[in-house]
Amino acid sequence: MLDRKIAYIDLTDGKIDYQEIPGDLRRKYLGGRGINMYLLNKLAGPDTEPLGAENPLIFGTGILTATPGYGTGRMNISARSPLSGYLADSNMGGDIGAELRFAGFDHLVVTGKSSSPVYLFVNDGRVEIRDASHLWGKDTFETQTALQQELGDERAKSAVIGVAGENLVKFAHILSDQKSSAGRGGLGAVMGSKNLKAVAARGKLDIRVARPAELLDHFKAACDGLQKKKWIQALGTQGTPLLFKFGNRTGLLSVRNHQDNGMGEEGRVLEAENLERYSEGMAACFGCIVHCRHRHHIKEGKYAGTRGVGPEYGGIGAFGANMGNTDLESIIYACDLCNRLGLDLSSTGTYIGWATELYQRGIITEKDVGFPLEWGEPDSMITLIDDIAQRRGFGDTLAEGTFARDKIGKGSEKYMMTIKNIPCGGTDERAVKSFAFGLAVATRGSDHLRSRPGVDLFDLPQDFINELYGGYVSTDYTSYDGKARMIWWHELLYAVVDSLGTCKFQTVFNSPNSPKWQEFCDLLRLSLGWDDITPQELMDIGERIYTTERLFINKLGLGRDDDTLPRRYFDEKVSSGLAKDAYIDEDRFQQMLDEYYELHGWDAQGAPTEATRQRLDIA
Amino acid sequence: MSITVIFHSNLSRITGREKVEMDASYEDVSSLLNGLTAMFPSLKEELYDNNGQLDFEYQILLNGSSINAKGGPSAPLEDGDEITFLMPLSGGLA
Repeated sequence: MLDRKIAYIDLTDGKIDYQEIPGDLRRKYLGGRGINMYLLNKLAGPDTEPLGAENPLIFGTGILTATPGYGTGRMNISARSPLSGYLADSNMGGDIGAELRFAGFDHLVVTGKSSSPVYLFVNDGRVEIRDASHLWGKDTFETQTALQQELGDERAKSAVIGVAGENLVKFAHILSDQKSSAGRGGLGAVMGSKNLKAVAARGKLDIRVARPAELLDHFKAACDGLQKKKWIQALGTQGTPLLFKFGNRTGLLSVRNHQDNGMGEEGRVLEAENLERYSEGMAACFGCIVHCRHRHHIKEGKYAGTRGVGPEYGGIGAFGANMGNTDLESIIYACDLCNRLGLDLSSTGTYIGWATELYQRGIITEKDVGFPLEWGEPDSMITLIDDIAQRRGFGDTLAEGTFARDKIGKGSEKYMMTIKNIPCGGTDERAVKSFAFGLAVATRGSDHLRSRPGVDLFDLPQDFINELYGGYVSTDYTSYDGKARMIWWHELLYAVVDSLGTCKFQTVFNSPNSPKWQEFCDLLRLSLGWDDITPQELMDIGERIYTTERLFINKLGLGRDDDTLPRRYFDEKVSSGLAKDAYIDEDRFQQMLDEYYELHGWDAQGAPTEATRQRLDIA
Repeated sequence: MSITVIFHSNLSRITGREKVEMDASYEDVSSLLNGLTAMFPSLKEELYDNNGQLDFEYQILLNGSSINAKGGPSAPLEDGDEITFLMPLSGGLA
């Protein structure tokens, strides 16, 4: 399994260099996000223009991707972000990661810029650069189908951009199948800037594991156990939309660009049960037992013919609650439209929500937008989605993402909900201090997937939670006490998960009894023969990966002042649900930062100390 | 004269109901749970683990606050109270 290679591909001169992955690098960073971060920190810095030829676009599969494990269909894509100016790193599912491994590669490092559109075909140990002129302008679904036809193999998988990526929309995504995306940070624009339309893969190379029979026994036992979990059963029937009811009742939604945090009875039409009439069953990523995604089909009405995968809770939040929109069919359509055009739907919903609040406040008018922009009005929302992808009219302004605030001016930045220039999603975390803090300190910018401790909502027994986190953490989700420790612990865990190539839904994300350090050691022992790996070593690997990311964003100019939240979190109390009157106390927040930096071994400004770098052996 | 019980997700599937009105005579959460499992026998397997303990995958709210802050299953009930079963999860932004 450790024979998979890195391919360095220079699209300017067409040269491709194949290299082995050193064993000591594997043991220090595993793979996936870990090795991506090592490479990015080595290859990019302050002089790297995000949309310049020199920006490395790095694809990385996990060290266990495509092996029997806990949802091992995952991979990461990384670069310097054109949306934030800092770190773009996105973990995606689907089948493309597994197919890259079957084709012989764990990492692709793409630099340069082709003079005309191209795609990469990765096949059984070779990478070819092929003409993609005929694919340019096609949407993401069409592109993938065309590639399968061209390659004569319907099992070929690809990661592609849509017209948004071609048009360098700052929050364009990279999509595989009908939903799996490297969504955040504008990685689709980086791909577009290189004239790279797609990466297609098909492989038939065996992946050899150390102890196949034992690994299969272990996997079967793990699957049997996981399938009994109630939250897995719930996700496997309703998907993440089941979260909407809880979010609405508790007050964890962003409603009308975070002006409210719940929709009350009016929002009940967006609950998961109402999505089921459009569902034709559930879909899963490679090797996953959870199958958490609806395959939807709208057969009648205004959006008849809409067919795809999703939406997730986040999509319902982005184009439902955040837009004050209760038309569920329009939300499904908007999510599909974003996926087809190549837009990160979460970012798109945040920016359109921001623009709608600007319209509400008279900061922009119909003259600026070209049409009225009202809450709960799906037609204008859908028009804007298309305009953004095509960079047409006011859509061209919004296509700049966070930097649209500089074009609009007039105090518009006050209402933009971003962290480190990355837009907040469809949730409002003022009630749950750990959630809010996790977003504030995430290396990528607003990012629930760097640390979200879902178990904070479970009100677990105190002894249990202290043992889990290795120190005191309050069991009250409204408390600040110990939450810095909780976030630190989850950051290390998720850094390892993203480097193994397993799914966060099958670790301590939603249930404290899910696989974690010891179970991952067992997988590495059976898969790789790493008999001496320990939970402590895995935690150190997580710390090394996270600290490498921190060093990367530090050298781009980020520090303590950037580990913060939108002012609305500090200045305005939420008004709905069980969370009514919640806000973030700024003094308590600063105390959490001090605790958090100390746990990581960083100084008071959030810079890793020399001692920490030495301990983790980071050059 | 009743106590309102609200089910979500798995529990509304098992019971076939999103809301149930229970008699106000139940003195505490524990006795109410016994009443609910008698009414919907499949709830027992869903709500309790193999050791007969309440499964932490569900959060039980009494008038919007966790029962753990009010004495756990022995939290007293009164006429007009609302019990909600929630399954809090984290993911799904894409």
